[in-house]
This record gives sequence, structure tokens and C-alpha cells, in this order.
Amino acid sequence: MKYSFYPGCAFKSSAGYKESFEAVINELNLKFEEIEDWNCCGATVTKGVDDFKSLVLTGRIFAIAHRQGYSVIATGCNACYTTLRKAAKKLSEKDIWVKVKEALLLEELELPEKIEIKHLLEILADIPEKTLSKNRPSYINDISVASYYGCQLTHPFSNVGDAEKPGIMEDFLKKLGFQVTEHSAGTLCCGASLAVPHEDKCKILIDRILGEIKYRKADVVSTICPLCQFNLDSQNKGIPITYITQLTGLALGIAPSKLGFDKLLTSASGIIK
Amino acid sequence: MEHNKPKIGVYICHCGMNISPKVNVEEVSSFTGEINNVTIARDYKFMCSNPGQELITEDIKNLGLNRVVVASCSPRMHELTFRKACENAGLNQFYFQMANIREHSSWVTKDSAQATKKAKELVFAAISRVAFHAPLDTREVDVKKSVVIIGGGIAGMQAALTSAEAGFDVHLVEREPSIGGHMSKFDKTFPTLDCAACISTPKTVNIGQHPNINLLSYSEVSAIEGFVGNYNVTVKRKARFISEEKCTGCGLCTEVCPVNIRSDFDEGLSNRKAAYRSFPQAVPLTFCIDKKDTAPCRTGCPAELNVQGYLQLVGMKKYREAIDLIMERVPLPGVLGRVCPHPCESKCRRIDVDSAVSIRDMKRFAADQVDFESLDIPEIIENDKKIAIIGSGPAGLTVAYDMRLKGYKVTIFEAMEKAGGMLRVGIPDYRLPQNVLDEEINHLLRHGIDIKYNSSFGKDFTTKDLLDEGYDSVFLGIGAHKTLKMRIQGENSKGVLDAVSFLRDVNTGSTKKPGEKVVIIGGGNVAIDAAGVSKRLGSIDVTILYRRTEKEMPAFKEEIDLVLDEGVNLTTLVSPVKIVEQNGVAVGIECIKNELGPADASGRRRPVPIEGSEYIIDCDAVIPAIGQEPDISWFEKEPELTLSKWNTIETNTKMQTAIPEVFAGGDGVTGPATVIEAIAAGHRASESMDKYLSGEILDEIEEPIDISKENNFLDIPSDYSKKLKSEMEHLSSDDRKVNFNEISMGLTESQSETEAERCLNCGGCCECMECVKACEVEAIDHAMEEEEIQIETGAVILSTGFKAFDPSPMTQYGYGIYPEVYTSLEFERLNNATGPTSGKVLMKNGEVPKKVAIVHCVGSRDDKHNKFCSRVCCMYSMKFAHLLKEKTGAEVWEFYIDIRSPGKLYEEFYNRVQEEGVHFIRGRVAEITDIPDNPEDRGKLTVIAENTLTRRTARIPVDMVILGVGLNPAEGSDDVGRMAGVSRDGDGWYNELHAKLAPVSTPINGIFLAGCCQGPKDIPDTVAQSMGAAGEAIALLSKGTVKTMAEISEIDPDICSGCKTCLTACSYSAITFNDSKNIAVVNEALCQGCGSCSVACPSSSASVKHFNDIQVMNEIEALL
Amino acid sequence: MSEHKPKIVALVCNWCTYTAADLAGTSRRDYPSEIRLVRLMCTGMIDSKYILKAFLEGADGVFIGGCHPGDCHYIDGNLKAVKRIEAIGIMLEQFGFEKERLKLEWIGASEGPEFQENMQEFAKKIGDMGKVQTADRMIL
Repeated sequence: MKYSFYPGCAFKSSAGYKESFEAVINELNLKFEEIEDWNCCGATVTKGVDDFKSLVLTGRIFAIAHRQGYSVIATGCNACYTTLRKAAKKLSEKDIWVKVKEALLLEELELPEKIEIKHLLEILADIPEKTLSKNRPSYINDISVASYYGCQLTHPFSNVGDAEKPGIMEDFLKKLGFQVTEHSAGTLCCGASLAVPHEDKCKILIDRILGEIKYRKADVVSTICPLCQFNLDSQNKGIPITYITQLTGLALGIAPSKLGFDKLLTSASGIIK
Repeated sequence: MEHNKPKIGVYICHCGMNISPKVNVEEVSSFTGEINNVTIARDYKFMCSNPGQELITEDIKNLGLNRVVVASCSPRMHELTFRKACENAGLNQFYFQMANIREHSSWVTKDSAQATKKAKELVFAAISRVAFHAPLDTREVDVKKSVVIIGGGIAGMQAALTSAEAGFDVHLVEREPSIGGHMSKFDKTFPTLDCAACISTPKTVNIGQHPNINLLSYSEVSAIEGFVGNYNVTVKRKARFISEEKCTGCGLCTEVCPVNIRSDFDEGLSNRKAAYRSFPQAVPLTFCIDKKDTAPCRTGCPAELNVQGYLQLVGMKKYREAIDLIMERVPLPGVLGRVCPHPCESKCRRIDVDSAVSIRDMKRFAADQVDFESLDIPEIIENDKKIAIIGSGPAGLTVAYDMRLKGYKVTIFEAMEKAGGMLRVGIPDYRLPQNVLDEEINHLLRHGIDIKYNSSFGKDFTTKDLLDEGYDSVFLGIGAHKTLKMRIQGENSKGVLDAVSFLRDVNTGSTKKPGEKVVIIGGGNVAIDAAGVSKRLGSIDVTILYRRTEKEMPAFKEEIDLVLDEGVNLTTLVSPVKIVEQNGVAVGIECIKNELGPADASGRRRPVPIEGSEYIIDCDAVIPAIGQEPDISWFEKEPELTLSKWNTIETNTKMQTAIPEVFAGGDGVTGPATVIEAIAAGHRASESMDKYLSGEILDEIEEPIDISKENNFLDIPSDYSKKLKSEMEHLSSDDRKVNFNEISMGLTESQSETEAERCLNCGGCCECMECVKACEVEAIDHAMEEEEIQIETGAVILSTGFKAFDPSPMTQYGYGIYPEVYTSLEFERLNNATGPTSGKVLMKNGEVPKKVAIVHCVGSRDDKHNKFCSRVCCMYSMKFAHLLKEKTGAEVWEFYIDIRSPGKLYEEFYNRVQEEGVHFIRGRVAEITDIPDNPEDRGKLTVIAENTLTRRTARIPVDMVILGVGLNPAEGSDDVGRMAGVSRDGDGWYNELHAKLAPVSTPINGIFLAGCCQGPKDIPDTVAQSMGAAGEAIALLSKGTVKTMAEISEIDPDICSGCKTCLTACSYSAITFNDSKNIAVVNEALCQGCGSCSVACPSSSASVKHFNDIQVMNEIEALL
Repeated sequence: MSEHKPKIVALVCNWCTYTAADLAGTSRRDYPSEIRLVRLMCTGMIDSKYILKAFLEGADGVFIGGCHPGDCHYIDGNLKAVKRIEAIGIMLEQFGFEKERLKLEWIGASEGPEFQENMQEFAKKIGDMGKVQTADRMIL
């Protein structure tokens, strides 16, 4: 299956997400086509500024994906994911859809009637175990991974399971052959973009998350969003914070050098063989 | 239809300020006055008041009115009031019609002009309709002074007592084994802190002893039919398996019962036995045996062995009892415990947790503990018939044992020197030692079974000989002892030994090794056995050739693994082409490689030879083991018997051959199969033989097995710790290669305990019968069946109660995730003296909690779950706080939104609890987490809530959390509602007739409500309501008669054409057909007046009184 | 938006929809006054004649309200009504009435808000549809 891909602004500059993503999809023969001339999704900010314009902003993304022939957009960032999902839900109301459609016609873009948004994690989680275990190095079985979902995957509404304990990342990590560390900090708030203006307050939040994960003796943390990864990694607490694609790459037997591990602030040398 | 001119009086009500001034009542009144046939039109402030009604009655008398219309509120409100007014004035009450200009006009129309216009139209419609009303009469029917009460909690119990005291016959139906409901689970009740048991026990005892109360416990209502005063209730009495009359409640049965089941009464916090009583003060005090559907291990065994039963007996170390139980279906326990391929284990539900229970090994363990020689032989009461059994394999031995126990004289004719058939000569000693066979076969023979050795069927005797000799019946259990030929060149060379003969020679004492380099052809157990035996005899190189892959080999995987471990080689995907011989002696075998092609009839992929891949394997012995068939050398002497194309003996489904007296079973009929299947065949044959010899007809028709039934097994608790099945120790491969000592060493005693514990007891009671042995008054009857009884009664009271909200979906509260998060009911059990901790408040680790949080509104006042307030949770939460203070001195926090304490002494109780130092935090709990804020709080749960009074977030570490869960309607109450015809509101509570004025009645006459089933409430309100419901029922029935409905269907006998369409249309079966007059007749007692018949009737002869076509059509016409 | 004030008849069952209408009344939930209710015992009592009579007498819309399936006071009267009303709808079309002018809805006794919503929606729909096209050609 071919998916439309919305990278979002932070994707390419993040610590190895892009490299590991490309290596993994290449290995698994998955096709992702980046949305042409994609624009900012607006994240959590634009809705408060102008509700209608923020919908046109995301509507433009939908329209281009539609023009490229896709009805499902995949993204690897929680904020993009939930922003696009919320917009898609809002646009399912007929009168709003009509207005946004009219606005986009000015750029000769056609707003599709329906669009589905998936997180990259959902797509990876569907891959059968047989495909994932082909070149698995044996040391994978000894690595215990703690899943950090971040908050926007399942809030304000969840498409992937229970909002507090989704389970989808743990199930996928088990399929990859990793040990999974159970802990209660999977969906706890890390402070998100407030980590910049309110660093000390967010430090308490991040300490809580990483403190719990370290207490449960995980070797590494797996994340699915550039901001989550950055916030946790920036505290440099001695436990490496990786992207799910980086861990997937390791389990598929791809050379670590191709997975961008060198970009992590907290070194992952302890888990890579 | 009235033909006299209508003289209508119309009364427009102001209803205070409710109708007027929105509707201009004077305008309506004057408009009405102008209408044809209206004699008088008035408007008045309150028509329903006495003066208002007097207006009507006076006008009727003085003006000679013969129709009355009142335009006011809803007929559901006051139709009866005004109808009575008419009757009081001497006018038939059905000459009355109401127009609803309040709920349907003044209250729902914004614009006054529009409201007035609509009111006029509604009044006009009523006037048009009422002109066509006819006078109707109600009848009186006899009623039964009896009540059926569904639900035996405090509501049902109180209603029962009140009704019984009034002299009514009461039938109290309760689905649990004992009455008492939720209240019997509580410790203390608010606000007076009475002990729940102390106040409810007098009531329960009274019910048990009251002469007017028929207590039907462990029973459920399955249908309610009939009408007010004459209901017919069908009650299903579930099988308790213990007689209520005989049981003394001594409890010996529960002591010996080995099956542990999670206790529902203790909210899953403890276990009870399958033979149990919910709590010590239960009424009735009769114990109860919890039996589900037969466990899948039992139904999965071809011989229907009671697997669950013997597993539990072994766990209890009752080995002799276990062997007795096993021998009921499997007369060779130790044998099967070693060689059976255990189809039961593949059905074992433990597989869903970790892996199957080691059922077969447990059987062997039991057999190993018992000395068969010391087992008692039961007394055999002999009859005058004698049976001949040919073949002493497992099939023949089973028939012999079965028939002997039934009293027949049994003689076995065995062709070889020793008994056992393939067990003796086919299976090598290292799998099945000879002494095990001897011990068990001898035990069977000791029952008085004769055996003649060296007696060969066909050679030494025929079936005709036996029958002539006086045998009444013969069983052929000849097995399949002839190896199939490979049909390749050189098969007859020296050095080619067929597997069956080879194994037989070794099992009867030969120690000659077949050769140095042995090649065995085949993939079944015989091939594997031949390989293992060859190795042990000293052959250096043993290779098995199989034409498909290892995965397709029919042999048991464990056997394959063991033999490969011993150094046997396995070459797959190769078939023999021919034997290479020199001077008639085999020196090698030419083979060809295969690849797998498409599947054949058996579903396995066909091996397809690869051209040009032939090669030769050097060897000095070849043992073909490609399958067996019965030896049919006797066939010429038995012209009447028939054979199938595989040379097996043909029988019908009752195991009977073409000769009626001769039966057959086992490998001789099916071809090579397993021992357990032979035993199962033996049982089927002995059953048929016994029937045949008793003169019964053998009915060939088999009952189809119902596979669609959903199985009712015990639930698998979600928190079972995983524990893989116990594996037996085996001799190391070095130790075993050189001798024929038994390879597997059996389970250890501790392993046997573990395996018995791992059994999930899917069938509930395992029918081990230990309770029957223990019961001193013979009260236990495992064959008891469900009973259905019919009760004729006058009224029904629904008191089905509630179930507690399950907080599992609220994952943020951690219920089911963290061990120290409890629901309120679970905490009640901790407090109750009959509960899992004998009334002490203890955490699961045995410690007393020092800090406890109680969370209000769990699942209540919640858009995502129940929007309503459950009414009792604030009070019981504060009760818990008080009990905690009293019993443990712990620090307690109550997290609430609002405190609801509306009852008598409730507010005072709230104050008292506050004075006791309990912290009250006004804020709904957001999350309960195990992540501590401070490291020293690790292990505690942190409760997070916004304290809305201090505007700060509270994060409180505690040891234990109690969730104040709300109330939902009881499980199954929707079914009961449907049976009774009572509708439910959006939350599932039963709909009362009127929320304020008729809270214990329903729209169905004769069906009443009591307790939480109508809406959540506390015990004082419940008791009050039950007394009310009983009172209403008594009031209804006390006169001995009730009036029937007048608005029922009637069929004009002059027009009815006898088409019978109405009969099928009626959902109440209230229409019967008069064959002599050829017309349909309405049963006035049953008819509910729904109108289905009138609409269905093609000739318009059926109509509903007071709702006939003329009346309705005129109303519609007038509206438009 | 048509100027024509529609005439709408609602045939409702006593146990559920009429009760819901009463509930809407006590909760003061208003709806257009052109809707007039006729109280019957059950939707299963509604003869085809009643519906046709309504249309022939000049009704622009006929609304039928009954209990939810499974909750009918008379067990399954409402289920009997479903097929009948569907058939009538088809017949109406053949006579030039739009099928949408006849609507069957399940409204339970506690569903006051739903009753109001249904009345408002139906009144608006019938209002938008305007007068019955064949009204002028009907001979009564």
C-alpha cells in the first residue's frame, strides 16, 4: 500500500527520525509519498487565532494529498497527527466543509469529502511478525524498552485504543522482539512547547516521566514524536531516548550508522551492538 | 353508534396561569359555543377541582347533556377524574373526551395567537369525535390473592413479608442460592451503623418460616403471561444437586470438595468451593453445587473419561479414588498414562493462559501410586448369559470388563501366549513396561474373566463354533497386526523384516539385532518404535526414511524427538524404489527424492518424485512400517462376515457385524488407530451387546450433536500467573540407548500438586463424588435436573435490584491494574466478618493501611458513563471513612463533588465524620497513579485531584483507594422487564407509572416495582417503597375482583367472514375461532386493546371499542 | 422558504410518544403549532385509512410516533406498523404525494427532547416542501 506522508516541520531536523524512517521503509518496501508543497499544519496555535483560517490551512494539506490520489495521510508527529485529525473531524460537518471547500477553490484545490489520518506507528504496528523477524539480531531480545506515547496521540480522542494505556507501541515492540517495560508514565505530560518559557516547571514533569521509567529499569525509551523526543532527551538523564523507527531499524538488522543514532543528545551506545 | 342527537357540554380550563393567558380561553369558549351540537361552552379556572367538576355534573343533570368535552391538561393526568364526574352524574363515562391544550398547546407554543388557534382546532376535533362515542361497560373478573415477587433482596423480602401478613400467598423468586441481596454483603449500614446482618436476618428467617411464603431460591422467572389478577408465571428452578428437604447445612460436602472457584459473593477477593453456601446465615441454609457444562477435557476424550474429576482427586492425594474414577471409563490407567496421545490436552482451556495441564502424566502418576493387587473386586451378580471375546487388546479387554461388571460370564480367546494385543507385542518396553501391563490386565481378569491363550480365530474356531457352543454373543477385537507391503522389487529378500513381526519378536523375548545398518520406511509410531528398538538392540546406524516432511509425520512428536535424541537419523522427502539384493540378501535400498505437490484426499500434500534423483543407501536390514491392516486369514471360514476395501470388518453404527450376535470394534474395524479409541469402541460395543442381549432393539438413528451451543464454563480469572506444564524427567539418552528400561520417570508428588492446581475446573463441579461419600443424610443427587413450574398469581412485584458500576473502563483510576484499588462492594467484604479477611481491614500484603482515599462519583454524574447521581455513594463513602477511623485509625481523605446527605440523620452523620478528622477535598479525582512525587512514597498510590476550594492541585499519596462506584440496573433486569411488559428509561431503570404520584406502579395493571430496580435509592427508601408496592398489590387484589378494560376489541359477527387473519395478528392469543359459526371471537379477559386485529381485518368487522374508525376519522377530519 | 403554513397531523401511541409529548410539554419544549396530535393506543392500531384520510383532508404531512422496537406496550404492535407504513408510503408516491410527507419515528416515553426535535425537523421539512402538488386536483 502506498501512503501519503506529511512530515511536519520538525521531522527533518529531529535527532535521527528522518534517517531511520527512510531506512526502515526502504527495508520493508513501504511506499510513502511526501505531500507536494505541504504547509504548516498550525499545530496547537492557529486554532486559537482564527478557527476558520486554521481549517483552511489544514484543508489545503488534505486537498493536495487528494490531488496526488490519496485518501489516507500518514504522519510521524503527534501534534501534526492530532491537529490533522481534529481538522478532519471538524470538516465532517457539512456547512463547515462547504465553506472551506469554497476557500480552497481559489487556489484551484479540491477539498475531499473524507480523509483519514494515521500515525506512522499505526502503519508499522500492522506489519506481520514474519516480515519483522527476518534479520533480527539476537541481542534485540535482551533490550527492554519503555514506551512513551506523549499526550497528543490519544487526547482529546483516541483512535488507537485506551486513552490512558493504548498498548499499541508495546505490542509492536514485542513483535520486533524487544522486552517491554511496563510503567505508568506512558501518556504523562512533558510540558511540550512550554518547556522553553517554563523550563523549570517542565523539568519537574520530565523528571517524573524519566524517573519512573528508570525506576522500572528500562534500557531505552521509544518515542513517536519529535517534540516528545526532544523534551525527554534534552534533560540528559542517562537513558537514551530514541524514535520507534530507530528501534525498528535495529530489529530489522539495519546498520546503526544508517539510523541517525549519532544525533541523540543522550548516547545510545549502551544498547547498540 | 349512537343515533340520538348529541348534546355536548364543552369546558375550557384555565389551569390557573398554565393555559390562560397563553391560550385565550374566552375566545376558545365562545368559538366553541357556535359549533353544531354544542349545548353549552364554559371556561373555568380549575376544571379538575371540586367546583369545576360540579359544573359538569350540574350541566349534565340540568341541561340533559349526553356528551362532555374537557379541554385542559393531558388525559394521562385527569381522564379518570372527569370520567368519574360523568359517572357521578349518571352519564356513561365513555361519553367523555379530553382535548390536551396544556401540554400540547399552551406549554409548547410560543405565540399566543397560534396557541389559541391550535387549542380551537384540538377542541373542535374532540367535539367531532365525542359525537360518535358509545357507552361501554367494564366487567368484573375474579382475581387470585397471590403475589409473585421477582428478586429476594431487601426490597423483595419486605414486599414478601407485608403481602404475607395480609394473608396473601407469596412466591418469592431469587436467582442466587440464598435471599438477602446486596445487603447481606454489607457490614454496617448508614447512618445508624446498624450491622446489616443483624437487621436483615430476622427478616430472612421470617421468610424462611412464614407459612404463606413459598421461597423459590436458585430459580429464575422465564415467562409472565396473562393479565391483572390472573397472571401465569413460569419459573425455572435451577438444579442445586442438593435436596432442600434433606440438607441439614452441616458443611461436610464443602470441606471435601476439591474445586476452588472465585467467590462472587466476596466480589472475587476469595475462593469458595463448587459445593458451597454463600454465607453462614443464608436462607435457605441448603448448600449448592455449582456445575457448568461438561469440561472440554471430558468431552474431548473419546472414552468420555472424567478428566477433571481424577485430576482433582490426585491433587487431594486420593489415589485409589482417582483410579476408581478412571477405571469407570478407562480400565487400563497406567497403560494409557504412558501411551495415550492425549486429545484431552489439546482441548484444555489452560492453553489460553500458558499451556495445557499434564493430564496424561497425572493419570500415570495415579496408577503408579496404587497397588492394583490390593484393589477390591466388587461383588458380581451373575446372569445366565455368556460372552466370547476374540482378542485381548484394549478393545477386547474393555468389553470383557464392562460385560463382566454387568454380570455376564466372559471368556477371552487370545491367539498369542500373553494378553494385551498390540499393547503387549507392538509397543516397546521402554514406553510401556511389561509389568505395568501384567498388573493391570491381571486386575481385570481377577473380576472373574476367563482367558484361553494360543487360541486363534479362524484356525482353532469360528464364530459359528462359538455360537453353537452356547455363547450368546461374540465380540471381535482382532486388531490390525499385518504390515502393509511396500510392493517394490526385492521385498522378499532376506533382511527385509516387517515392522509388526519385528516388534512382536522383540517383545516376546528376542534380542537379535536386525542388522548393523538399518533402514526403516515409514513415519508413524510403529516406525519410530522400530527405530528405538533397533538402536537398543545394538544396530549402529538406524535411519528412518519418510516420503513427506517431518511436519507431516503421523507419529507423536514427543516420540520422534526422543528417538532422534538417541541418535536415530531421519531422512525426509524420500521414497523407496527397490531393494538392492545380492543372492537374495538385501544389501541396500534404492531411493528417490520427493518434493511436495498439491494436497491429496487426506489434506496432506502429495509427494512427487524428482526425476533422475535416485540414489542407493547401503544397509543390511530394511524394516517397512508403512501401515497395518487386520490379518484376514480367517475370512474364508467366515462367509457371513463382510469386509471393507481396507480389509477391515464392517459393522453398523451400533458395532454389530453382518451376523447379529457378533459385534466388532477397535483396529479390526477402523484400521490402525489409538488405544483410547479402541477403548471407546469397546464401551460402545458392550453397550450395544448388553441392549441386544436384553432384547432391546438397536436403534441406528444417532442423535445429532448440537455444536452450536455456546459453552458455559467457569471464567478464566485474568490474574492467573503463568506456569508452564510440568514436564516429566526422562532418562538421559545415554542411559536409555542401551536398555529397554522405561524412559520417562513420571511426575513427582510436588508436580502432581502443581498440575492439579493448574486445572481451571472448567466444568465447575468435577463430579468426583467425594461430597456424596461425605454427606451423612444422602442429600446429594448429581442427576438432579432443572425443573419448570407454573404459578398462577394475581400480581407481580419486580424487585430485581442493582449491580455495582464496573470501573474497569476508567483506566485512569487503575482498577484492575493496581492491587490496592477497591470498589465499594469489595471494601464492604473486607469489613464484613464473613468476608475474606474476617472483617479486618487489610491490604493484600496483609498490612493495615495507614492512609486511605475514598473517591466519590465513580461512574456517576459522568457524561461518559452514568449521567445520574447514584444517591447512596456519598453516604456509604462517609460510612467507610468512619469505619476506617474506628478499625484502623488511618488518615482518610474523601474526594467529592457535592455531598448528598438528604435523609434523616444523614447531615448529622456528615458532621460527625468531619469531626472525626476525615479530610474532605472538593474536587473530582483526575487520576490515580503509582508514580510517587517523593521517593519515600514509592509503593503508595498517589491520588490527583483539583481542590476547587483552595484552587490548588492535591496530590495525596495513600496506601489504599476505595472507588465509590455508582449503581446500574441488575444484570438480566432488561429480560425480566420485557417478560413483564415494563419499559425501561434511558438508564435501564424500570419506568414507573408516574414519577411523583405512582412510583410503585407500572402502566401494566398488576405489575409493581420495589427498590433500586426503579431507580437507585438507600435502604430506608427501599423498605418504604416495598411496603408501598405490597400495599398497592394488596389494595388491587383484596376485593377478590378487578374491573376489566372497556377499550378492547370487538368483532361484529354479522360481518366477520371467518378469514382468521385476526387470529395470527393478535400477539396475546386473545382471539379464538368459533368453528360452528365460522367467526372469530374476542376473549374479553385477555384482549389488551392494541388494535392489531382491527387493522388486519379485511372486512372491517373487527374494531377497538372507543377507538373505532368512525371516531378516529372524524377526529382527523376535524383537525384539518 | 414557502409562505404556506403546513397542516401536519401526528398519530401517536399513548404509551410512548404521547407520553414523550406530554414530557415535552412539562419541560416547556416548544415546537411549531401546526402539528396536531391524535392519541391512539398503539402504532399498530393505525389503519391505512387514517393516513389516507389525513392527506385527502388536506394534511401536508403525517407523522407517526411509536415505541422503540422491543419496548412496545403491546409487544410488537409497532413492528406490525413498520411494514404497513412503508407500503402506504409507496402507494402515496403513486398518487403524487412525496414519500417524505409520511414519517415513522420511534420516540420513547422519556424522550421529551427528541420529541421536540422531531416535531421541529418535520415541520421545517414539510414547510420547505410546500403545499401538496396534487392538492388542487383532488376531488373529495
